[in-house]
Amino acid sequence: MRFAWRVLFGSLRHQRARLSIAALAMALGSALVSGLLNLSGDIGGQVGHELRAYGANVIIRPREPSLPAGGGELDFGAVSSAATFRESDLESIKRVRDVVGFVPYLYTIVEVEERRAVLAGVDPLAARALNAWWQVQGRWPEAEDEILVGVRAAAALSLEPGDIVKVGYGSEARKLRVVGLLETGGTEDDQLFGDLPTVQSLTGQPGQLGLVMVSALTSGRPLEAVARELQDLMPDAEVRTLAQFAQAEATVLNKVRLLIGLVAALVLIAGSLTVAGTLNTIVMERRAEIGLMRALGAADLRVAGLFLAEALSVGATGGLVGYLAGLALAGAIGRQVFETTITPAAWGLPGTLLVGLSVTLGAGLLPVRRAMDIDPARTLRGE
Amino acid sequence: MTETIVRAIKLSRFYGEVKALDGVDLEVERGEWVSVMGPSGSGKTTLLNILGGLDRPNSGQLFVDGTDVTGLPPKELARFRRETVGLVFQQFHLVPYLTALENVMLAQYFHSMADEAEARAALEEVGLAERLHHLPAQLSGGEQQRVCIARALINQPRLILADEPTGNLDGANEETVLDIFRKLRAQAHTLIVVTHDPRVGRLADRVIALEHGHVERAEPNGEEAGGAGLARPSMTCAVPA
Repeated sequence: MRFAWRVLFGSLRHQRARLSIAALAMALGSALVSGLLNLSGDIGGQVGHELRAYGANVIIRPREPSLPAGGGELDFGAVSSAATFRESDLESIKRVRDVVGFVPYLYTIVEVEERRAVLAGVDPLAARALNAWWQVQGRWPEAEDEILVGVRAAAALSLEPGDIVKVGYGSEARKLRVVGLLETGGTEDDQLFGDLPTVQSLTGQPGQLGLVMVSALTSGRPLEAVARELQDLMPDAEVRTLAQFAQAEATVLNKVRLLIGLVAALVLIAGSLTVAGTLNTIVMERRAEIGLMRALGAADLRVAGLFLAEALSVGATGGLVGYLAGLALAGAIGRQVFETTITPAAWGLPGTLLVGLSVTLGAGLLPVRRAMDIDPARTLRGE
Repeated sequence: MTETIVRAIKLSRFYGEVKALDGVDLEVERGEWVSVMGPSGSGKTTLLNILGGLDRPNSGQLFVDGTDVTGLPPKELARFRRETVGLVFQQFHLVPYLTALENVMLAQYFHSMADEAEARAALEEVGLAERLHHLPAQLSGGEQQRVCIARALINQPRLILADEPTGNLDGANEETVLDIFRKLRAQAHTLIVVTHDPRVGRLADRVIALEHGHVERAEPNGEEAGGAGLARPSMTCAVPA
């Protein structure tokens, strides 16, 4: 066995220039594979994070709905002012993996300028973070007496930023300042959004919530699994996933992965053709050597073994160099495209090496088969 | 008591319309040195290739050491080559990236397992004790041919086949190689040597002359081989100037 290594190393050294080119071709292919493998581990998360800019995908509400409420085009059913959560229940949501944010709401019907309107109490910072697509003309509320008014509600109530409006609930009333007009294209355009503690105080429901909108990543596990965990933590609430969001996310992620897979496959095919071409040339150039080995009585398996070992050396070298280059590539793409640090995937190195070795082995089979067909008598005559 | 090691019966080999060998009969005794001579294209190398299991005849039969070589499947033919035959080439055919020692060990590796001490001894035997770790490109033609001979001998073949072994050598190196052949002859190795060189031919016990694929004549060589037929020449056999 030791002698086989001597022959292998001697041969690799002798043909280092040509084999280096083959290894380089494999390294290029492997670099892309490694980059894609490392990216695909994180890209689901990255794309998932990007998709989370489009709002909540899980809602939690009390079991007894009685008041229409909702966000965007979505009908969330209804909530009751009597059926509420305690704010302290939200602590358990924070512990759930894959939950990237949530917005507590308390909806109520109020009197504004002698007309009825829906007022939602929210945490403006959380709502802004979760609903990055909400367009605000003016600014977001910063003080407890400031509100956003949906554009349709503002038109109906003739309100503009800077106006002071009297908001009444039963015998209670507050004067609130309009600081921005909200446009979402959905039912929010008909509603008013005030500071959560203010609405809680106005309606006499301190510390109570009517609805929680949750944004969860779907790259790691199905959204239903997240919902089940939330449900287990909040048995008295009704947890629902927004199916169309989850489906859209899954579709996008699957398409991203499909694209990655196709690019990787094309790169590998190109790489394997280069390796096959190089090995074929090597076999043709070494016909005399192969003929000699066969003339000396070498079993086909031993000759094939020597050449396949060379092919695997090319694959391993190319795979290793490619892995490192791919890691750097993934890091650069992560920084430039996703503005984040890519964590090396645990299976990146073994995956790249396995792919590199498989491709070179596959690419080497045909040239080695040709080597086995070499006629020793003819090649030794120099034909 | 002589023993036939090679028996060829009506061997024929065609390449398209060309008859390289046409019904050649041949017998070689164990320990005999036979030279095969003839002009280019007479079928010498074809005969040697068939004797060495590198080629197959279109018709006829070949027995080597009792084995019907013509009927062997490819795998057994490869075994025949590595166990029964030692090949010496005009072009040496050494693997360029292996040292002299490793080139000899390569034949051992294909035969069974490489044994560096044995390979070293074989090279010392042909006078290359100081050149063990040189690559072929660092060796003279004569030295390369001696490596080739050591490689041919390393697995103790029953039949040594040499194709123009001195064809690429200058006078001094030719003499060295022929000395080795004389030694082998003295040690009762069976040698079949294809040569153009009458000087080399005269050292054999017998000369087979081929012409157009036929055996033109097969005659004992009485001059230097020390007598006709199976007479054994001594190691000090003189070489004509």
